[in-house]
Amino acid sequence: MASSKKPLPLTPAVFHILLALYAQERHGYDIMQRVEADSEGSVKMGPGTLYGSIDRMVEAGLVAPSDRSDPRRIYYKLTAVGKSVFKAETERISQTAAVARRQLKTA
Amino acid sequence: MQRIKTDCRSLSSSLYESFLVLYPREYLEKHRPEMLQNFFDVECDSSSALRLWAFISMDLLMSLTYQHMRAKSSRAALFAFILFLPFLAMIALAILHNALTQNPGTGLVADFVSMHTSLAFALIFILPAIGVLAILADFAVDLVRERSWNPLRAGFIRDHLLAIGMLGLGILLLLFLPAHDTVPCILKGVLSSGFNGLGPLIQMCRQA
Repeated sequence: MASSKKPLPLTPAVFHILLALYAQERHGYDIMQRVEADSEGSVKMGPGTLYGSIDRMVEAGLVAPSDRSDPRRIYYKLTAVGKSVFKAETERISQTAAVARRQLKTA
Repeated sequence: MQRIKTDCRSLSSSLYESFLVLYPREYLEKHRPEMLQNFFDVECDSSSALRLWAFISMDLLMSLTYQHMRAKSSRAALFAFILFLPFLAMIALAILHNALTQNPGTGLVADFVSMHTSLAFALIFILPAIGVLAILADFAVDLVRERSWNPLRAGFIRDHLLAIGMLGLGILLLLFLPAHDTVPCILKGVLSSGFNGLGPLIQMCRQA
């Protein structure tokens, strides 16, 4: 069931999962590796934490299992809601970073 | 889903598989095969068993706590566990003090029990009793709601592992510490002479 609330700001784990799935569908271990690489090791998820986050994201309508057939794994993909939330969060972070940069220059 | 990538299967894989039983049933039904496959992949890429388990044990600790907080079936058990914490902490502190100082019957816990008998009684008897009642009430609600609720069915213990564990611990406490004055007596006895002769000590305290 998709949540109607806007889930911003996102937790780092959720943001990085959305980022990992933005360009392509991935299975759990692929997501774990991608998140670790994208965050340069600062966000590291094990199997338990990953599927907890994915469950919440599926409930919120951000991601969904894909139709890709693989007997070993489930692939996940971004939904339209997930894409728009990811874009909105990226925009929010950019604006915050811009404000922070201006403050740093004037200080 | 079947497992295919099994080249790296080892004792670690079997150990991880057995730890998965600790997750709530609802979560396992959805993710067990995927989590196992993920573990095999992580294990294959890991440089040492120590590094693997340092990573996996943190993941297990965090996700088990979170999943049990989310799972309906574990909420009462988690509540009971929180109520048991003061008692478990007192026992742990007393044992640690004895081990470090070799001076039984003294220390923070012994002083606390002597000076605040009623509070000690509440912490080691009343709170765990409330925890036990919460688990029993939760079972009763399940019984009314689900016609299929059956403690004799296969998998019942696995599905309610945390609740049954806390219930067992609570019932043991209620059986062994049945009276107000008995509690400090037993605790003092354990502090002064350890767990040797616990049976006669309980008998003596109950008769005192």
